[in-house]
Parts: sequence; C-alpha cells; structure tokens
Amino acid sequence: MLFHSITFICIFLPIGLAGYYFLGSKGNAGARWWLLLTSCLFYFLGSRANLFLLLLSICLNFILGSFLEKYSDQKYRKIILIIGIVINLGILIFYKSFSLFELTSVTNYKTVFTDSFVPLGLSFFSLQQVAYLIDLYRKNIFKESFLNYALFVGFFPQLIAGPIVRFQEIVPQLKNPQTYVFRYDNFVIGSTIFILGASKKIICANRAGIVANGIFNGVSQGAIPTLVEAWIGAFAFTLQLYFDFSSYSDMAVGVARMFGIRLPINFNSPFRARGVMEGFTRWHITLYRYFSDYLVRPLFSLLIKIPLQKKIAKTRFAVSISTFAMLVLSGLWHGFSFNFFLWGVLNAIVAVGFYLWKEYTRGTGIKINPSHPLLARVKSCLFIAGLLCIGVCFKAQSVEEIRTIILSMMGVNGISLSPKLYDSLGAINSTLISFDGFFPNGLVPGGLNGCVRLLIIPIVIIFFMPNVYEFLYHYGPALGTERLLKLNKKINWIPNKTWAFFMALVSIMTIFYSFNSAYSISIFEYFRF
Amino acid sequence: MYNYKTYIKNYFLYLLILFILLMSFVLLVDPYCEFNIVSIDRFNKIKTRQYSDKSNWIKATKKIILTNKYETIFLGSSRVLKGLNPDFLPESYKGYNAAYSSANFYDFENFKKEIEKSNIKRIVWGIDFCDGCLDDSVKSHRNNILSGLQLESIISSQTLYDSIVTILDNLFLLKHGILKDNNGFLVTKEKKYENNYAAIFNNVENGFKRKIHRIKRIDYYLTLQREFSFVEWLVRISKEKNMDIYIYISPVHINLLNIIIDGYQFETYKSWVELLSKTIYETDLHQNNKNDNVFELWDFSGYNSITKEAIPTIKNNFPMKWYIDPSHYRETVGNMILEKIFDFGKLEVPLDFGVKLNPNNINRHLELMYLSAEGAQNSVSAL
Repeated sequence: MLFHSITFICIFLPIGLAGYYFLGSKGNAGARWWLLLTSCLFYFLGSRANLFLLLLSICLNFILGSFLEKYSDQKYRKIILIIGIVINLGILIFYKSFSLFELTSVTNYKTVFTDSFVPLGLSFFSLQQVAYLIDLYRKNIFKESFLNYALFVGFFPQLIAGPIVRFQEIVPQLKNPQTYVFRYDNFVIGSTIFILGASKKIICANRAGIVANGIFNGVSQGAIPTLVEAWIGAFAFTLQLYFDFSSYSDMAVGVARMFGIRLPINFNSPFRARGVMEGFTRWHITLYRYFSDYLVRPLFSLLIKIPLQKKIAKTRFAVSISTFAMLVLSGLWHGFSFNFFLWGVLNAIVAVGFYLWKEYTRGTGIKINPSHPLLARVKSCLFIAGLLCIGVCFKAQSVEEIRTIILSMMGVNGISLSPKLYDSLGAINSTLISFDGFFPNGLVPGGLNGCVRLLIIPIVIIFFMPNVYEFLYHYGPALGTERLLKLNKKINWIPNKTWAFFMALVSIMTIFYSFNSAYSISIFEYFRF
Repeated sequence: MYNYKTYIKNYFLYLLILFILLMSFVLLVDPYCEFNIVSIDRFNKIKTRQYSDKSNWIKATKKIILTNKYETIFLGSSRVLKGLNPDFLPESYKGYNAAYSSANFYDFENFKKEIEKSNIKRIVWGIDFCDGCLDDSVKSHRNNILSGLQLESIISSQTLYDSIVTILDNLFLLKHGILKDNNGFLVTKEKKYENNYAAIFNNVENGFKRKIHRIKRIDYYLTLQREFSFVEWLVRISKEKNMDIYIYISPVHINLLNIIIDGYQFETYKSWVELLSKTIYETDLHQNNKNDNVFELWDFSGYNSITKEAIPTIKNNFPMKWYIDPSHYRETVGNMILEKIFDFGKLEVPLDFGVKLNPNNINRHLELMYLSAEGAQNSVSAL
C-alpha cells in the first residue's frame, strides 16, 4: 500500500490512528499491540507472501539477541553475532543475487526477476537487525521486550523504505507513556510533513518521471538520444529519484509523528551540498550513518594498523579504502547487478578522488579557501553533474543502454539544434551537428515546451525553496534536525490561518494532480530495494 | 500561543471551500461538454478542449454517432483526422470524421454498441501497419483512463487546466485546444510544419524506427488477432445492417516503407496485409445474409506518384504538395482517396495511386511493392 494512495489516507491511516489513541487512553500495551497489528497488516497488503519471512526474521533476531544478552563469555557472544550477521545478510544476498543467474555476458545482462520477488523492505529490516545485534554485542544497548523489539523493526512508516532507525532512537519513545496520548501538535506537524511529502511525490516526482521514462524507454526501444535529450533524460531521472526518495522519507516521518513517534531525518537537500562527500551523506542520511557506524569506522580502525612509513599516508590510505568500500557496498545494497555495482564504483571514484585532491592541495601548499562561495558553487555543480552521469547507471536496463546514453551525453551521438539556429550556425561544417530540433527523437511529450512545463516546479522547489524540515525547524520535525539544519529565517511554518490556507491549497493541488492519469506513475523507485 | 485545534478546523474549512469552489468552476465551465449546466457566449460555449484527451474524444464520439445525423463515418488515427474532409463527400453522404490522434481498433471497440444502434450507412476506416502495437503497460493505462472517466472529468489538474483554457479560448478566440470543424475534420496548423520539413521528417522517421523495433519485442500476432477480431465484427455488422465498409491502408510517405524494409520487417508487413485481406474475404464468405453491401480493402501505400514526393532539406526548403510529414498526408490526398474509393468524378487521381485488393491480386501487389522499393533503394545507392 502506498502512503499517497486513497486507501491509505482515507481508510488505513484514520482507523490506525483512532484505534491507537483509543487503546492508548486505556493503557500502553493495547496501543502497542494495535500498532504491531497495523504494521503487519500494512506489510501484508504490500507483500502478502513475505509477511511470514518478516515475522520469522524478527523472532529469530530477537532470540539471537536474547542469547547475546544471556551469555557473558566473549567467545560465545562472537559466535552468536556472526551467526546473526550471516543469517541476515545471507537472506538479503540470496534474494538480491537471483538476478545474477540471468547474467549471460557482461554486455548482455538483464534483471528479469519481478519486483515482487525481493521481499518488500528486506534491505531495510535486515540491516536494522544486524545493527541491533552489533549494538547488543558492543553493549551499547540492552535487550527489550519482544513487543518493543518487534515494533522497532516492524513499525510500518519506516518498514518498507526507511529511514533505517537505531534501537536507541525508537525504543525509549515506545517506552514513554506520553507517546500514546493524543496530542494536537503531533497530529498537525505530522500531517503537515505528510502533505508536503505527498505533494512532492505526486506533483514533482511523477512529472519528472514522465520526461525520464520517455527518454529512457525510447533508448531501450532503440532510439539514440542527442546531447540535449541525454542530459535532459539524466537530469529528469535524478529529479524523479530525488523527489521520490525525499517524498517517501517525508511521508514516513509525517505518519510516524502522527503516531507520536519521531523518526530521524533521512534526506536533506543534497543538491545544496558544498562537497561531494557531503552530498552523498545528505542523500540517504540514515544509510550512510549506518555504513559509517558499522563499516567505515571498524574498517578504518583495521586499516590504520597497517604499517606504513608516514602517518599521513596511513590515514589517507585508510580513509580512501573505507570510503571506497562504503560507496561500492551502498551501490550493491540497491541490487546485485552490474549497473548498481558500476554506480557504486563511480560514486566511490568521485568521492575518493575529491578527498585525495583536497589532501594533495593541502600537502603542496596550494592555497584554496574551502569556504569561498565560488568554490562551493563549483563543487556543488560538479556533484550534481557527477550525480547525473552516475544516475544513468541506476536507471538504464543494460550496459548497452548505459553506453548509448553516456556517449550521447558526451556529444558523440550528435548534437541537434533548433532549425531556427540554422541561419546563424549553419556554417559550422560538422557531421555531428544537425538542425532537427532539440528533441528530434520525439521522446518527450511536447518537446522543449513539454520539458519546461514538466520540470519547472521540481527545479524551483529544489533550488529556491527551503526543505520541509527547514519549514518546520521550530517544531522539531524529525530526530537530528537540530544538529543538521540551520534556522531558516525566510519562511517558517506556524500553526496560524495563513498556513492553514496554504496547506489546504497544497492539499487540493495534490488531490487534483493525483486524479490526473497522466501523472499516475505511483511506484516508488526505492521500493525495489 | 497558537492553537493547534483551531488550525485543524481552519485547515479543513479552507480545504472544503477550495474543493467546492474548484468543483463548481469545473462543472460550470464543463470543458468536455458532459454536464451541460450553462452555455454562455464568450465564456464556455465553444468547447475547445473537448478533444484534448482520448477518453473525452470517445465520450463525445459516442454521442455523435447516436444523434443519427450522419450516414458516413470516418474512423482512423491522425492521418484520417487531418486528411479526410467529409465536406468532399456529396451532401447525401452526410459525413463525419470520427478519427483521433493515435486511435486504433482498441479505441474503436468502444463504439460497437453505438454503431449497432445507429443508422450509419457506410464506414471508411483508414488503417495503419502496427496499429495498436503497444506494450501491455500502455494498454492497461488506457483501460485505467476509461474506467476512471467520471471522477477524472471533475477533479483533476488536467480538467482544471482545460477549464481555464476553454474560458481563455472563448474570451480571446484563441485556439489552444483541438478544435474540430463541425464535421469532425481537423484543420492542420500549417505554419508549424512549413518552416522545417527536414527536421519534422527526421523526427517522425525516428519515432517510426522505434515502432518497428518494438514489433520485434512484443507478441505482434496477438495484437493482430485482436485487430482482426474487430474487422470480423465489422464484416458481420455490415451484413446485418446493410452497411458499406471501406478499409484503406494509409498512403504514408515511401520513407516509412523503406524503414520497414531496412528493419527486416517487410515479411511482417506482408503477412499483415495478407491476413487483413484473408479475414475480410473469408468472413464475408461465411455470412449467409444476402445483403449486397460493399466491403472493400484498398491500399494507397507503396511506391506511387503521391508517396514518393521529394523531401525538402534544411538548405533547400520548399513547400510539400502532398505531405505534412512522412506519416500525414494533406487534405488534397485525402480527397483523392475518397475519389478513388467512391468514384464521384470530381477529381483527377493518378492511376498508380490506390489499388483495390482482393485474394487474386494481393500477392502480385505486394511483390511489386517490394521490388519497386528495392529498385528505388538500389538506384539511390548507385547514385
């Protein structure tokens, strides 16, 4: 079930909230069981066949956690931890690697399994439970009741596509009796975040998706895009992915807040990043936090022990390798196929390259002011351009398609200009330049005008508007906002008449757009993971 | 201190007011002519957006067929819509152009009931190779459009946009929408094309290449079965109602036939024409009804005086006589088609333009088509 579907908004959510707060007024246990039941139903409606797998995974990890708590002998604890990690990652790898069986050759692979094959949210709940076991092993946390544990894993707003939460973020809230008491502020703030999230999905992501799908589908049907088409296609897909993920994260945070629970911020305007690595950490905050805690730091501590002559070289080596491993793994986390691997490797090359360049300039004494606004803009543009190129690997369905689009982005497949420019530029004698219009393959409905019409709203929102969490900064919309965001002085949401009107306007626009069949691309790209 | 309770009340109040306001606005303007609440001059009288969407076209056409004002109906896609002007027909034929951009037999199946109930005397159907050659996703999307008609025509951003454009069109006499003539014919906005034939030919040819590429991927014969079941229905209903049916293969520019040949799909094309002919004549034989109605299949495609018109280049641009783009012919060509089919004696038509197909001549015709295509390609490469 999708958060922005009528069934969820008009039936599931109201009944879920009503039951939760009604039982909450009688006692915590009833409300918690209700929440677990609601979460199971939510998962069942989305992925009927796999509810059993989810429940089995929860029970198994809870039992392993109990053993970890029970035994004090470090040797046994280590074995239990390894068993837990192997089981969780084994299931994850088993499902995700099925696409590998379809690999016929490096240049002709196809991921032919259906989306329903990989259990919904498997990547998210598996990683979350591995973290739980590691934290228990490290004695950062202590075992809780089964109900609290099951809710930590299965709380439906974050179950399918994140955020990836930590045990210590959720369980204290579940144990707080105040969580189960209805509060108007929680409902209003939660619904505001939810409405803004849903509007981003329906108005922005789906519009960008029309352009991206037009171009990428055209390529898979044999079209060879021109320079402009290829860049627009890559840009539109990046916008689609951006709003898809951003909107889902917002809706998850909003729904959770309506239930009185604050989830961590998961997406923080990555296009405003002033560096490549910062850009990555703003995109999927909780995933990078996860990899940072459970992969980069342990790996770094291991690598730093390698005997190298210079300390500075040792640090650079350790940082580079651990960052590289993190980004390649984050690529593979999306799927065990060559395009995701390539995507991860390219991300890693860009990030490590920038890091080493920074270190090199520091070492040679080249004076660059890192906070210079121009440099920040250049870095930001480089990050976005890199993201567009890399995004092609994410969307394309074969290596052949990636090659076609990348070559087109380089201008190798020709540059087509408007026929109106023939008089002024017709003298250029090049076989690469033609004057058949900017979209000679007719891949985008409405050509240039259509592109502008479909992409203008997403562009304005990304580059000129504060994000949802900045709007609601004063009201602590999500965990971590105080640390990650600065106070936005321009526009601040307050629960007054003007904002009630604005939110009603956004809601009505979203409703009207959602009934438009042209924008009915409703699947979230991140559901595949 | 702000009150959250009041905020919620205000929010729902504004939401309700906005919803009622927008819905009333859409109902009042009625851009798709569905509710007929008011019709005010310079406000909403001319429904310029009535055909802006396929679902609206289906609804409007159903109503038109049922009015029984017309005896001749043209079915087809944009080629028929822009090419066949019912005004060319004699007054007694009372023609209406019910074609629509990218419409095919999937869409025409919606008119079955209306055609059965109506007094239509003849149907002219301009058919194209690979009509309805769609992916399953597109088909299901189309089904969704049709099932959600009612709600979408009241609350959707497109309806709101169309309502605003309808008012602007009425107020300033702009033509943002698809404004069909009273007889359903769409007058082409010539200026757009005349400036860059080379670009527009390239554009359409690229799209056609993809369509041909797609035939290899999809189960084309499944599509054919569906297409021909509609043809079978037409044969049956024409016998029952004594209705004349004229199906013709559109005279697309020869460049498109070359794309079919270059893409090694001529055999598919050939089998399509053969199957079409076989379906018509075999179904016709099986009908016991003794009505002497006409059921003809014409082919205006292939190499002939019209389809091989020279294409301007960007350096040497000149107006094209017969074509708007490789896929769309002009009204003059449409008139020639009607003349050839009905033989009114109003117009002179080149002898090589249009062949009436029957089981006896079809193989020879297709053979000649292939040979002349190959010959033309060889002579071009020899140059």
